[in-house]
Amino acid sequence: MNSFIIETLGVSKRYRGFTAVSDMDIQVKKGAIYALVGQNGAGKTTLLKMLCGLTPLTAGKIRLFGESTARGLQNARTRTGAMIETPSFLPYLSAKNNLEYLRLQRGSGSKRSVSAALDFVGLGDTGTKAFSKFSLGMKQRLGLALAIMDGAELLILDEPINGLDPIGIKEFRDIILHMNKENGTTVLISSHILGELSQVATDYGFIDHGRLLEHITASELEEKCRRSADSQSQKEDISLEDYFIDLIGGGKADV
Amino acid sequence: MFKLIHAEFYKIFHRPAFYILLTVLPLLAIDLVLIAIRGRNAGTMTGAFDVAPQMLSYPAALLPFVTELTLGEELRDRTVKNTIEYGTGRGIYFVSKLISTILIGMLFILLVYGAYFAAAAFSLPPGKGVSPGLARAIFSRIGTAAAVYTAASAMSIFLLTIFNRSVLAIFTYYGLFYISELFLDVFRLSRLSDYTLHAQISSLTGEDPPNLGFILAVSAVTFLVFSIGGLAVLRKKDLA
Repeated sequence: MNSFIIETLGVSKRYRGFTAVSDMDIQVKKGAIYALVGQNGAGKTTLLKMLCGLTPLTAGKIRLFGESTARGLQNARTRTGAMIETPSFLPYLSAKNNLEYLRLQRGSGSKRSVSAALDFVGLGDTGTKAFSKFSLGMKQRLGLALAIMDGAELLILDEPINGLDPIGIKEFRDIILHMNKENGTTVLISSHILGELSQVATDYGFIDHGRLLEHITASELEEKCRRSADSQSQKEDISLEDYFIDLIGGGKADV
Repeated sequence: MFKLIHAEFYKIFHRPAFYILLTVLPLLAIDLVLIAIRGRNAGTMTGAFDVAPQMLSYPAALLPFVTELTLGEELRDRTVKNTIEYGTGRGIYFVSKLISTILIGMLFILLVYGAYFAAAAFSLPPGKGVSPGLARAIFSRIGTAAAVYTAASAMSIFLLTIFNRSVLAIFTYYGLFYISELFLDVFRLSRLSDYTLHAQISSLTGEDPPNLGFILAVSAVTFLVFSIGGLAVLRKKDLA
């Protein structure tokens, strides 16, 4: 049995007259923090949606925890926590009631797991405040609380630090690193903030126009950046941002 | 499935709109007792039984608001993704929403008729008396109407899965339910107008004894068509 938690085999998603993801093969090892890097519209969110079962595939195959059948994928997803695009919750319910509603749906954990998840993301004292009155940062935290509530072995996070202030970003990073180091949680994360990704990622997948351009480990990337800086006689290593812009052909990177 | 339905009731019981409906609907039913006083067998329990079938068309009008509580807001607020990304099958999700809608609809019907008959029993004299035959006739109409509402629930949920906007789904529902006979006339298909849900409800509220078997059959076919259609649409839908 291989150690890949996520495998996509020739996955494609086509909408009418537009290909969002084309023949994508990615592999995420157990325990990795895999960063998906790409411009707006590169296909990152579509790929994550397909992994989470939110949008059907046009072609290809997905394997999660070694499972690729419809039933197997459903079971695998119960071991997964996800946060795709903006977190969505029922606007009139409090943070606690929203999570309790979803806990009852899933039939997982206990009421204490809800409180523990809220405390973990710093929302333990929001009381009866309705979700509709939450700031963007609080919404992001609640999305993360849902993702980690059931002790997920795999986290799929799409732009999770959007809207967070610098303290929130640091706390978020600490949570991800804690879950990865302490619990061995595998993380697949996409973000526009490349500096932030470079502080947590163990692997990178660079995608553009729905295609995977390159998969590289953090240490390989570091080495490449160093060599690239040497060849250009620069005093400092080139950054992840520079590397990515260079990779996609020097175009204006919307990252 | 049971977990999803259980959670649905947890959500509904925390929904302010649910309590508004819970208060307003019985009050409307009690209001109808006053109509019974003015109607045939004026001011008697027999009169209240005579008027009861005429209330059968109202729950169908309220159904889109129930489906809005169960599925509509989940699609609008995009909270459905929280359920699906955890591995819940779309089929299970759809059926649980359908069953929840039917159960909540039944709860409202019980409440409305409970309030109506209780108010009538407390405030009206028996009149000529309610014979077992009359009670059986009325309650069999109410029971058969429940089958029509079940089919209408499937239609309403089907429309919600097609349109992302609840308002559009609600208006289309009213169009399909109340004026489908008009459309059938326009397209020279008036021979089909006996098979609409509205025609079944009209039959149940009418003076003549309704053909309950026919109504049940039409409701069952309509329920199946819209349930299968809704499920097919939801399976292909982009849910994020």
